[in-house]
Amino acid sequence: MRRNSLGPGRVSTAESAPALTVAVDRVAFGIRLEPLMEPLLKYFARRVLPRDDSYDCLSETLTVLWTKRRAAPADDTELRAWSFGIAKNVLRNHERAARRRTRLAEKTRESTENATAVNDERASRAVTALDSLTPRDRELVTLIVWDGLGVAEAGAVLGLSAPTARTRYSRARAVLRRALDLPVSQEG
Amino acid sequence: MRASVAHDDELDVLLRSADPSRSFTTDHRRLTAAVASAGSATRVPRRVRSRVWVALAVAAALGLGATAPAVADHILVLSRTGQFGTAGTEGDSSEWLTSEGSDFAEVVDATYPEWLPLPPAVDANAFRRETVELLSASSGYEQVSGVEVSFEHQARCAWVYEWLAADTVADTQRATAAAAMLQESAHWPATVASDGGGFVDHLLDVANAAATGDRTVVEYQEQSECGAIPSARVE
Repeated sequence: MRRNSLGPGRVSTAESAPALTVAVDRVAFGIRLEPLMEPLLKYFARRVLPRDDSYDCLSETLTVLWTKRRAAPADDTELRAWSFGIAKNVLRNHERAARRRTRLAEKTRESTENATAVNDERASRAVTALDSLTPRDRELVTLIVWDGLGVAEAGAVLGLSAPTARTRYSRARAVLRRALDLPVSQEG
Repeated sequence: MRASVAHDDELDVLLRSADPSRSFTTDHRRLTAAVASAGSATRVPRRVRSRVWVALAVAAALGLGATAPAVADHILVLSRTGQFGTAGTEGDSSEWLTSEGSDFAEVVDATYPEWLPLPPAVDANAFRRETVELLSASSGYEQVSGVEVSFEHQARCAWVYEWLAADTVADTQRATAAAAMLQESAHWPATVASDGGGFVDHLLDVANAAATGDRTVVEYQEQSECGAIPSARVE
């Protein structure tokens, strides 16, 4: 009935070693992930409605991260991009599920949207400008500007090489400047 | 180049003004709960999912790293950790259990709320046994309150099935009784105590939908939250 490695009844020190290894493994992985908790939560808060679902999405993401922990990059920066990549997939699943939701969810969503509608004129312009980008470029920009990822990191999340990400980001910013009537800079 | 940087700054300021998370305040209690609920192996309430593997930061807060070597020196691991409350959820003083304990299933079973109402067609013994088995099957850390929430949740699912079965055969009296119990279940103690915000309201929405005959909502509840306990399923 039990699935933990200690098994039922008394166990020897030697038998408890796998459980100990797992426990230490979990703590070590948890410590590595801890700085990502709030950034990942906000990643979802930016993208899901109702925003309350952000906590569920985070929980799902952590579950997947734990399951795939053997494949986690050793480098912390790469770990962040890898974690956001998994969060992106969780987000897609959430969106698919959301489309299947019933009137109960619709009711919740409507009330949330009303509560969080963009009413700042400046923000509204920015949203319009962002919407003029392709979905992938929009996601690239928001991962960088909202979520604080580096260009190469954001590219990795979206499956883009670093040079490609840089080029697309530069072009996207030029599009945004034009859309927002800002002078186009010399870069890109 | 300096002008370019200034324009870039202005662009970034504009884009950040549209960041939806500006109106989002992190509820750290719920954040901790979300971390703690990660790895749930069972279909239990999304907001109060209770089967827990190590709770990442929570485990660190419990000092697992420091106690792990001590665990290796002992020949018997008990489920009751002697750690209470605040490491995981503020305001929850219940004890943390570890599934590594050899008595975990017994401890979970002892937590079963004897008062929990079930539909007449549900075999209470089978329901208890299956739920204990389910809750005992995951590894990690869990507060007693989380176990209690899970029992309440699975019983609530039984009433969801009861309502759907009654509605299917147009048994108004039975459906009304089930709807009333769904309403009552939103106020069961562990459910209320664990509500980080909005979950009880959600349950009341479902209960109200049942009371008004809105099958779509009840079906959604069943599809999204229930299904883990075969004996809870009333045909």
